[in-house]
Amino acid sequence: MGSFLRLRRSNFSMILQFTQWLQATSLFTYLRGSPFTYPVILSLHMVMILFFGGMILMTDMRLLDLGMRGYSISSVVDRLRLPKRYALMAMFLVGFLLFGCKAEEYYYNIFFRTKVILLFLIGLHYLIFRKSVYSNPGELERTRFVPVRAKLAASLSLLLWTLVICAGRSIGYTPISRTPVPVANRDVDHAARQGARYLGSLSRSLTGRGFPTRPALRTAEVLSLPPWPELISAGSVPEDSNARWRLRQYLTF
Amino acid sequence: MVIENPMETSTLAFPVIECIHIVGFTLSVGTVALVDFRLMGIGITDHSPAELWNDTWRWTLCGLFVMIFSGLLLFSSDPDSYYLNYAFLLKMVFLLLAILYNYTAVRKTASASSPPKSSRIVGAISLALWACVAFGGIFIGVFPATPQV
Repeated sequence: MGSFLRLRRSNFSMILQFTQWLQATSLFTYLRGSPFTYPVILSLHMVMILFFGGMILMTDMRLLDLGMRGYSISSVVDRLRLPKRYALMAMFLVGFLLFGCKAEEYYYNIFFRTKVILLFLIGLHYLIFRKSVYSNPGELERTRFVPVRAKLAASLSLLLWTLVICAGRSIGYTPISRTPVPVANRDVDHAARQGARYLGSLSRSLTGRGFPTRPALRTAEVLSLPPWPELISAGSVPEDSNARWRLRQYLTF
Repeated sequence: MVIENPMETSTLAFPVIECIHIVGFTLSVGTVALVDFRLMGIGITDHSPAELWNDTWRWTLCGLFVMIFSGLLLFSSDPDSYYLNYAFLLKMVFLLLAILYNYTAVRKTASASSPPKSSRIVGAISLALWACVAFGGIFIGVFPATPQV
């Protein structure tokens, strides 16, 4: 596992080549170059997490006997199975669209790798507990207390999904300075400036005033800055909260 | 005396609180969405929406508590920038609307003894309002406040 998380190009050059090919396809080149498509897809991903998360949470809470006590285990597990499957498929599709836009950068991203491993573990957990828990919820109701295997499955599911959310959010916080500037970032910079121009002209034509927009802070400029903690200790950033904000937004976008 | 915001003492504070914010958001909106989907006829349909409301409202409140307080911490890291951000302002408007709508229309429809015909629309509107909140959250990072161009 450790060597997988560390960068070892030789072992993964095939995957690296795949990510480079993927982000160069016309679909992802288009998505990356369009100013608002990426955030819209990201928002959709977020919305699906919110809507899907409740189903997972309440199933797990029922199995742990902590919530939904008025419901039988089989009615919760069976009735939510299909909606959860559709939601999961939609989430994977949208997640793949996000991944493809900056595939090479994500390939290097430690939190993206962590997220992939966590998703793999979730799949493994499902395969292990499928027969004994998820496919036969009626069996679990025979005894007075919910069997330990069901509680174990539910706790693992809760833990892993929470970690997936945290890893997913952290993908955007990883410093990008360890890798060479991927081609994708140039397109994203261009798209952001394009979006700023659209918004500015729209706002001017509607209200006569400009629109506060994303500043043109390029990838190269960000990379030329010292690492974040040094910037703060040097005292150059906190003086101007706007600059700090812009920089943080850039690094987290 | 200079009061320093603990959010500024560590670079990890913002990302960690943001993870907590999203987990809280999932907890609250996820349970609200279960009720909304039930009103639309999706999900655990062998029980009434009223039962679902009774079994989820505590989780929703816990989630809202975590979400709002972690959100206030995030806001405190740079209040003036958030205040000037259109996406943030819209998010707050939608958040207020979504919470109000949840505790008025959704609650009333869910607790009705026989589901009214409009229950599907009530569920859909509630889901749409919460989706707008999520969109607002993502777009805060797309339109940071800066002097006008």
